[in-house]
Amino acid sequence: MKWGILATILAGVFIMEGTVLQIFIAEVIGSAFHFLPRFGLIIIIFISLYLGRRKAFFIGLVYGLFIDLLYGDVIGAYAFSMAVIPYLCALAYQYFQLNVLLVLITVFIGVYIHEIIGYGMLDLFGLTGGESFDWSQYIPTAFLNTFIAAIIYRPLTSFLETMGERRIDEAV
Amino acid sequence: MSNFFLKRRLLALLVSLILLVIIMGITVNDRPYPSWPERFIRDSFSLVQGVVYKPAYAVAGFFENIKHMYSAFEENKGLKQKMEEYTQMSADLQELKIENEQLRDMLDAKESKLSDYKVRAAEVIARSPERWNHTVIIDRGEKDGIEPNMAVITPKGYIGRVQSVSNYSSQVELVTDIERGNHIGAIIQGKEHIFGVVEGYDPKNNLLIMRKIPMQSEVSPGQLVITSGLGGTVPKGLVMGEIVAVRMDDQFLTKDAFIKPNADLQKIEKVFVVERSFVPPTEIPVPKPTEEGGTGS
Repeated sequence: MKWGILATILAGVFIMEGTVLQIFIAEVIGSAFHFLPRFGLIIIIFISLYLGRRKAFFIGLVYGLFIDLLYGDVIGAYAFSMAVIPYLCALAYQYFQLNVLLVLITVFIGVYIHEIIGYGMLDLFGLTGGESFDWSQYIPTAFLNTFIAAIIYRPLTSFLETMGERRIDEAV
Repeated sequence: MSNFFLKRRLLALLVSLILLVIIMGITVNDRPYPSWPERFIRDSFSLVQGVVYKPAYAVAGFFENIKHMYSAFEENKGLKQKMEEYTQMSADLQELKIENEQLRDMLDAKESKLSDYKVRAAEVIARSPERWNHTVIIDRGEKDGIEPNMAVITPKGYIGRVQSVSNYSSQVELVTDIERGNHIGAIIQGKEHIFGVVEGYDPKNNLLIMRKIPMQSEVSPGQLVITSGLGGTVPKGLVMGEIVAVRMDDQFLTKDAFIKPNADLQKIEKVFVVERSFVPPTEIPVPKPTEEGGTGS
């Protein structure tokens, strides 16, 4: 039941990323700077921190695969980064206690590295159009997504905490 | 035992990585007709996306209307002035058309087939939330007669081409995603036509780049660029944009022109898919082997 709700949330976010948010971004931000909505990634990072990284790995794989199928030129690029980033995020947390600040920092770094991996993957197959790598153009994306994560932190964590015992430490 | 487990895990990791690279390698090419699982997923998502996108666009449009109300008065004055010019222009155009027809009749020259096309209306239902894949999904597919590589326009001008078609939806690649063999033959309108190919995109300034324009040709900012209709499925005469800057290329042999796209690529709601009446043959003609080989002298 709870997993069904989670799946519905993820599907809704997935639809929103392509439709409502695109219109909203075009209206409000325009082309002043680039902002990519990565709300799905944020939720999967939360899942990996609160429900275990293996589950998050597979959820991310499916989520990324759908992005690749619907929008992408290459199948596998987003599936890879969406699966690996949440896994690594949780791996780094074996030695820390979870609190708001640390979770938000994780989201920031996670989204930022996700964009860099995304660039690398597409550059590998020559899909970036000769655009050179610019580390600063992902900062707005990372910041705004962290901001969104701060907003949804409270409801999402309380929901995830009801789903399972907190942070089952899986065997390495 | 644990040693064996560790080894197997490494193997699994390696195999899955190799599998990933293989899948990416296979799917990296343009696939105008995707496989049926992809079609199924795209079509079923396109249903939901269509339901969500249209109301969202309507709401956004409402807010924009409020914004526009403030500047309506000024705009109205300017438009009225333009309207007067327009009456004169349309009268001139009518005259020229008749004259053109008469001259054609006298010369016995046929209408050029290059600019002949039919359009099909379609609605945008989603945009890719990504940086490099400038992809838009529209709600018409193979069952509605859409074919790969058809040009896609808005009333303001050319915006891209159909990249891949599913049954009830298709993906449109915008002009800004121009780098991979997606070059468009174009004409700079001036005293005489200058032919060239739009083959680059400058993401910083959102400008298209037309390269290899001959040095002696007169190109200046403000000139319009239209599609040339030479080759491919893009008909002649679709507006692409306006030149905003011209510069020498790196070797000082040719010129590069920077083109500002006329259509607003940020906000796309309704588009038209252009079906060209005359598609030039793409195969390279091969000389036929002589049939009576050996019998001749």
